Amino acid sequence: MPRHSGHLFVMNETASDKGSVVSNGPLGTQRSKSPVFPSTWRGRVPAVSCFICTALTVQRNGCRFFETLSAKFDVLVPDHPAFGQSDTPNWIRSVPDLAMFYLDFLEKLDLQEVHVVGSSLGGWIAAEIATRNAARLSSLSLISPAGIRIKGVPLGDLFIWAPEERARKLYFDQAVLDRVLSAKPSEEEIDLQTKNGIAAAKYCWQPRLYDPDLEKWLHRINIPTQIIWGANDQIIPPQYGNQWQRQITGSRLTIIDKCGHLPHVEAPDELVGHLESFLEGVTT
Amino acid sequence: MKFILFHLMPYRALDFAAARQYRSRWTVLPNSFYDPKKGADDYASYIEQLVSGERYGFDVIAVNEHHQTAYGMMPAPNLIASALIQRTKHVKIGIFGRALPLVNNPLTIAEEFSMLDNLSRGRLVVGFVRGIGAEYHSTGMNPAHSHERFHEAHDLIIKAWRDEGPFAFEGEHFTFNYANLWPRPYQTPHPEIWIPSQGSAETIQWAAAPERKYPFVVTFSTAEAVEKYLNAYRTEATKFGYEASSNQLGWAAPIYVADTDEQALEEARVPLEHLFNDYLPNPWEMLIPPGYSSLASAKALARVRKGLGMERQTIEQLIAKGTAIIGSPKTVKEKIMRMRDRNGAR
Repeated sequence: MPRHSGHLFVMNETASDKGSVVSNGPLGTQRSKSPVFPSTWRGRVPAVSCFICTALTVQRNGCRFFETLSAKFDVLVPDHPAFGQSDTPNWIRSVPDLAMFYLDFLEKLDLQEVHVVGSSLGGWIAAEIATRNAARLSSLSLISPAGIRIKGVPLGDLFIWAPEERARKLYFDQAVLDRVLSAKPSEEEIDLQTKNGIAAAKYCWQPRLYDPDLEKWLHRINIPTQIIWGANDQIIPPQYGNQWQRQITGSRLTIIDKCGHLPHVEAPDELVGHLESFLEGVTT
Repeated sequence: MKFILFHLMPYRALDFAAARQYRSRWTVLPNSFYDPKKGADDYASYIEQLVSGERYGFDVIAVNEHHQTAYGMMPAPNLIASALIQRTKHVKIGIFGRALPLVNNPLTIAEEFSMLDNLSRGRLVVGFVRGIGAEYHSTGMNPAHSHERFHEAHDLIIKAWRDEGPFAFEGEHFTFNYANLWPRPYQTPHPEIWIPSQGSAETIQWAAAPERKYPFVVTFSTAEAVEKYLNAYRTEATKFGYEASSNQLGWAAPIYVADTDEQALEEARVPLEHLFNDYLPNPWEMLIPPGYSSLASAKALARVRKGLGMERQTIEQLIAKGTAIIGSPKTVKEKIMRMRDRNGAR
């Protein structure tokens, strides 16, 4: 298969040879480092794909989705500030702050025509970026994004569930679930989970997994947008997919059958297929 | 040495077997378990118990704050304190404590404590706490802001008590153009402040600082842990260049006395085991929600989470570890004296 032109913009738990990206903070006096992963970045511009992933549950090493996608695109996945190997700047306090940070990030690397792919928290961040300034973006792929609220359609309570219970709600596929439940995390991985949990609370605890000021601005998103949802998502029910689709003009919604909240874990090939055909349609 | 009669006010008529079907007796236990007639009886009986503390010679009678739980029916401890003030003359009234990070306007805490201090003509002693982890689920407050909000709320309350109002307060979480306390506290500059804690290093250091010297009360811990944390407090005080007085060192433990050791054991068994095995336990996610403890503390706790007392404890184990003191008057007195000597209290 021909390599697509495109890069992945990675913020992740593994610092790579790409090194860290530094963003100026308020008044240029404070900085935040975000390590970049994986090493498939070739520095080619334009057509950069930015994948901003959910950090609570994502395993990047050995993840089929990332491997497959990296074979087709240049991929950049930064660790969000306060997650993974990133530092925890006190001045980044909210998802809107993260969006502003990433606008700095895109500018610092001078990335153009970026395809942004975001899952869960990552989708929320991606939408906040796109409502603010989409000048450097070519398209948006939102995979079961958090970020809005539909009254009367409650979200799963990720913070109160025990680990096994959380896994059962996250995944539809029993084989995936068995794999997750049988994993024996190392001390380093437990430390990382603890750090990621604190970061998730910082950005998502209250208001729980949404920004009251996001949905009213979604009409400003004027780049090609696709929304992808697992049919069996028990964290953010698929009704939310319909709402996102309604609010973003021209967007399309794709439901993946027999799939929970994390399609990149449960249906990596299907997800890559959707991304590929969408991005081809956008770039041709 | 001073003695405090401290009440948690649990809901006693709980159907324990049915309640165990829920992940906790906090936050998620349906309030259909609560029968108002039985609850009202509990309140009446508990207030009688506390009021009797004055007759029995306790130095302080005390209450605390907890939310959405059968463990304690005092989401608003000031209401109970107000009733106690009306029914007592000399005993001090303790509120140990109010959970500062959980409120959006800490001035209301300053105001209400000032009122109670005036109503009691200076008999009030107060505590400041962060609330337990489950209360961040039940109030929606972000546990990642818990420490920041605690310190900022504390500073605001102290300033409101000490400084002339009105003044402006410009915080990150709390901002007021007009902080102007009416009434001011009865005591000058304000009621004594105690810090109940399970012993986090940050809290010990903060409480022992010379500008505060807040008495530190180790709650519901083994004798070994009590000794360790009180020593930690002493060490901090030494580092700050002063010697901690025994008035700064406190310890909260369940104590039950009957005519004989055997009788005490028999009578205390069921309620004490309910306290530690039914009312108190929370799963990890509710006990330490993310951000409630610093990253370093949370990492350390995560590694020993099995040792966090989540297993069932029998009354014999609780007694052996010194978490509870149960027995005849002679036994109980000896054990208290031993703890006193061991911890250098006077």
